[in-house]
Amino acid sequence: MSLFVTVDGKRYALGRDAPTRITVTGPEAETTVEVEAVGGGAYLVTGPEGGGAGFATRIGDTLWVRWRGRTYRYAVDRSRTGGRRAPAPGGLTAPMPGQVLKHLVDVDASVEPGTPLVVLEAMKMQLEIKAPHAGRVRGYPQAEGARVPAGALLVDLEEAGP
Amino acid sequence: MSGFSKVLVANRGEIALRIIRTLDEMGIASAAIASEADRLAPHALAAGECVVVGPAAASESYLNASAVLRAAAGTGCDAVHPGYGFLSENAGFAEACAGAGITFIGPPAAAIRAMGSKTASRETMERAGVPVVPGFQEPGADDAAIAEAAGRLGYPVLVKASSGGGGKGMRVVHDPGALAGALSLCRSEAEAAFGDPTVYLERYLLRPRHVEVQVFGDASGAVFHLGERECSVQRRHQKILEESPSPAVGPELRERMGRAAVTAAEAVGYRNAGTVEFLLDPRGEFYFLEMNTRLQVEHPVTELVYGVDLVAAQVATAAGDPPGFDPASLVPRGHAVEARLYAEDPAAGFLPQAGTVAILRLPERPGVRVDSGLREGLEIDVHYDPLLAKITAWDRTRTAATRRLRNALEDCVVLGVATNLDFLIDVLGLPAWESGDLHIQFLEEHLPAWSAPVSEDPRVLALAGAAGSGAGTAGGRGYPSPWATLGTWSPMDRGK
Repeated sequence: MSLFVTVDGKRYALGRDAPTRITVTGPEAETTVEVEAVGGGAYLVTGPEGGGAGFATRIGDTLWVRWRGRTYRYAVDRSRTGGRRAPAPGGLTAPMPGQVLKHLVDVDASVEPGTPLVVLEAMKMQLEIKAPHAGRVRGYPQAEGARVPAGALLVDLEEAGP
Repeated sequence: MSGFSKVLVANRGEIALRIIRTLDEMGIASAAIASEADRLAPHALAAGECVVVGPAAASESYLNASAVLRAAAGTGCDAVHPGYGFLSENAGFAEACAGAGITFIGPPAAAIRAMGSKTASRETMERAGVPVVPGFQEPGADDAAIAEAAGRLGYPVLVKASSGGGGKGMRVVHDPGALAGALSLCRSEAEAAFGDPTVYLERYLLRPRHVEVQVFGDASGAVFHLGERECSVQRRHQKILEESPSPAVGPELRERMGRAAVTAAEAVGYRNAGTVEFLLDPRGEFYFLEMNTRLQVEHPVTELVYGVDLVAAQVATAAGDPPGFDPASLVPRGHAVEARLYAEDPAAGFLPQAGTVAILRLPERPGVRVDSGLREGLEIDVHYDPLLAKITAWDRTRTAATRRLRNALEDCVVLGVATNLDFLIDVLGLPAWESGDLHIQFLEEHLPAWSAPVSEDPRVLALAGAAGSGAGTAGGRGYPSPWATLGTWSPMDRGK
């Protein structure tokens, strides 16, 4: 699964690839950081630019971090389809980094709620994304075989009119 | 040594804990009071027993004098320590204690009353020969008389509404030509805000420091002082950093200010611990501001520099015993700086913040004292003063004490409620702090628009991600099942 936060107008996906591995995917780069829980809100961080002990906790939709003598707060971004940088109403995103295996429905086809649309392989599992509502598939931003970061838009699904 | 068998600590938070610990050291039993909201707060659990005195609102609990007195009587206490705030400067409460046969650990009620009114205490100080900010106050004076007085005081002058407060009806006038206009504006503002157009003049002090003197009247009636504290770094007229000694005060000025403070205390028959606050101008002239007739929040810096326990001295004095040290042999040593950790947002006008202290680490370093009322899981609510803890560092020099304090603050972790922690660290890093060039507009001048740190460092974001996805939380290092969190996702039926 991934969480999304928006910092300074940039949207970051925070995805867990393994029990102690977090992949941070931003607009410019994807970085994997080892984060090992020590207990009591403390973590040992091992990153490309040096590590150390940090503290973090989640309260509701606020993520609190203490790192090297400074406190940071992030709001969990619940808009599934991206912040201002990536408006994609009706689309659906990858909840974790993975590989697109197959598009299941033709472009322009109308689908009912629950129709499987894409198969994504992630965490050694195959997952399918289903239509959350009735609509028309406008396209697939990610080709079959593409490796996608958490938060990547997989289906552009136009919602059916009432 | 003390005649008390049990003392009621009529306060909450860090100061209640601090008093309870001294009582423990003196071998005196303690009883705490708590509001319903504070039933499980650290101070309520630390005393030998605790009485819930009322609902969360302070007016119905910690300020409820009769409930507090009932708690004292009900727990068999022979004395009450009021701490600071709440009932500590309530002369009526001090009298009610005496009436109930319970010793109020503090000054005589008459001294509290004499210092309670700003205008009356100013007159008392003038009569005693303690310098006050020069001013002109004659309700019937016409503009010509006021202009003449302003010339005598020297520009700039401050025009203030007699019934004023909160900055309304107040103007700084820099030259004689602007006086008439300012007078008429202040009068109409004062009339509109307070229904009283009367104004008076005060000399306007440019960039004054807030320097206060710790005084103490022992059981024999002798009054002495324990040097000064500088508390110029303030926001919303409230202190956030305090130190002793003041970088602006040398032995000669300390002696003069100390003598003036002792004179002020003697003028009202003072006993026990008190603080005389002064404004100190850049020329070394100082003026009486007010006297706080109680233990001061920032008393730890004095304790560290003089090596005394002021609370123990208060308790002993109230019992008629010597303070526990010889005033004649008091010698200040080194430098102490205290930082007040508040639940407030310095990026949003220092507004008090509510929340739950989810993760807490307080510093443990040589030379660092922590006075805290916190524990993990504690709800910080807006019913009370947002002071969470005081972190105080002592070292041989101001520079070393500052470095120690910054390190200690960087060690602190308070997650779950917004605090001024990072702001304090930044203030201590300012060159103007290092140079000791302080005055009461220091923060407006040097950090007018502070904002909280923002980070796109992947390590910081990864920490957020780790906490956000549930690892390392109370359940251990659990890795949540994706099926529990995928929402509209479901596993493929591979048999199809």
